[in-house]
Amino acid sequence: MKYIGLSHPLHIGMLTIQSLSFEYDLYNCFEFPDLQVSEGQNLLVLGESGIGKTTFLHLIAGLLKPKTGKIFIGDTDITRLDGKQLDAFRGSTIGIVFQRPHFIHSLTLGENLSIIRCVGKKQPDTQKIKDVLEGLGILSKINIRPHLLSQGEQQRASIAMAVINEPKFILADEPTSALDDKNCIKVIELLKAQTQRNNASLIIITHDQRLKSEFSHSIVLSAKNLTSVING
Amino acid sequence: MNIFHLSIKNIVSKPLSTGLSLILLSLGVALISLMLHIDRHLQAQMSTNIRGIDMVVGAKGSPLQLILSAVFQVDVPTGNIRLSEARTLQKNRLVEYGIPLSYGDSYESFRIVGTTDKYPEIYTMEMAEGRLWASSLEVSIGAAVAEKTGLKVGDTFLGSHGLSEGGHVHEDQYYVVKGIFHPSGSVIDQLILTGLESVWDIHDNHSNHQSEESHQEEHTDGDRMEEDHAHDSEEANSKSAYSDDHEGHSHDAPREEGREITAMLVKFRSPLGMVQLPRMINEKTNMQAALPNYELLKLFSLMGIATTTLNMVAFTVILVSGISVFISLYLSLKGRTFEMALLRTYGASRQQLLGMVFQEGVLVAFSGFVLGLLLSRAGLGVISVLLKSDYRYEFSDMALLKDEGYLLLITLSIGFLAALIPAITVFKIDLSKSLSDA
Repeated sequence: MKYIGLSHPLHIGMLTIQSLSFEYDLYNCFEFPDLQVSEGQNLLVLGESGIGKTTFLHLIAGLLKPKTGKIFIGDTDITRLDGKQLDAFRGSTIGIVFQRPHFIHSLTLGENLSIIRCVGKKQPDTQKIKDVLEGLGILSKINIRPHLLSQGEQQRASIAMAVINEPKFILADEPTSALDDKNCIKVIELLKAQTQRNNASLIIITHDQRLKSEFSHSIVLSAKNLTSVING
Repeated sequence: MNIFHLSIKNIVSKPLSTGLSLILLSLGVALISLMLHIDRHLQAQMSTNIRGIDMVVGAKGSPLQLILSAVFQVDVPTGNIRLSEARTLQKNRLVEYGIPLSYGDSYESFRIVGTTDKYPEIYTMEMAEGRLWASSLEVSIGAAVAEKTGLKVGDTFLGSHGLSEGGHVHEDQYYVVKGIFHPSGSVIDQLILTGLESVWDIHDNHSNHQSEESHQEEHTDGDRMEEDHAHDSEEANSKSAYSDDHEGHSHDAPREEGREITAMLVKFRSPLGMVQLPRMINEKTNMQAALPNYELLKLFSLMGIATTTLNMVAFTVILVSGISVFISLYLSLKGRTFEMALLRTYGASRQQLLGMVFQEGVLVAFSGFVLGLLLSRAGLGVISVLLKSDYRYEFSDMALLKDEGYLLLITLSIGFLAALIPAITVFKIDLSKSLSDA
């Protein structure tokens, strides 16, 4: 429990989603299954392309406002947060690994991590940055601009970006779609390892069926976005 | 690493567009600051040097030339006037005082001016060392002269004919330095002052060399001069007539017959003098009267057209540089939408990103301003060197001007405005959309 700053005697899970729905317009509405993820638990969210996976992830990350429903992280309903509060909450609680790695172009890898700590309101901590890079095997690249790294190194660098602020949640959006089988497994292992190191929960949203065997918990977003199957 | 560092890194990471903006900005700022300095310096120089002088009387010619040569000692004189005529004017009841000036010789291009002790008095000159000249061939020198030539009290030197170096040297007629003035910022800093009689003595001895003298045509009675010279061996006599008192001169009138001076600086007793005397002199005598205030006003209004034009050009350059900052920020932000979204997802607030964009604009503007100031100081240095050799005026004062403070404000607001539209785009950024589009 020591990592749950927002812990509350009544809270039932790290992430709780209730009757969540979202609409871009009349013809593009999504309804998402209720779910609950407890502390340290990993979750795989599978779904076909265009089914609203990224929308789902953005809702959980507070990047989009849902039409209806509640999203509790700890005991904070992030749908009720606004502006600065939401930005700050997101920065301290959630780390996102994007489908394709992106960085601040004008900064080196180390500086990228440092500015993320800064905007996430964390104390500057060079040692922490080195530790994270060390764990991902890219410490030697600390003074190189990330866009000059190889594909694989960039992938690891983006994991470093996601975990540098010690988030309680790591959300990964199709982290493996562009990778071959060997690297796919590698990245998943890395993500899991980093998540464990941070005592966090990992939620991967993907259409990549290869990952199914890697996770004990998974849900499938179906075509109607109405039904959900929870395995195990 | 914080947002401020990030702005700097962002600016530095695009050296070409930042460089262009900086060059334009600094050029504009440098031009304006240079104009401000030159303008202020000229105004200050002019007003220091014309205080105590209401009118200048000299030979007929260009009034501006007369002012420039007699008051500022930068132009060649228009010619000579008769001392007797000048003395008559001095006695006019509307005249408070008249200071005769006689010049045409120089030492290492510093002018040797024969005058009375009233001349240093109107500039409230004080002696740093030694005393004023007392008899013929004794001189008191300005601070700049002492500094540049290394002359000290007790040193002697030879004057050369003409106002620039390389003229005929008056051999055997050694001047003796008797005193050095404190620096005053007035024209006297650049002058070697002596009694009127020194100038006469030297030229009496050398009247046969006077063919190249600019005011030669005025010497209608060269014979008389030679004759005078014969009686002129006792310098002390003639000295007493001019250096002690203006009233005393009438007794020496016969000795002054045929004497000439270059110009006379006049102060009126009442404003009535301003109305009556110039007209009277210009119409009824062979002399010309010029009013420094009036002539300088004319000069400034002419210069004003040039400075206004230059200022407009400079402001245009600054505006263009503002546009360049805008384009550079806008384009780079277009490419950085994802970066902005990324920072937001990691906890940066809208306000922080907004601050960053403004910082980038204002930082470029500020650096441009500082560069511009450095550039203008370098320009002032060059002008100072050029002017020192041509006009012997210095632009040594490079302190910040109040107007440069306004210039800073203008520059910063241009940087701010240039960042405004890019900042609005950042503020309105749609996180989800930017992240999934990338």
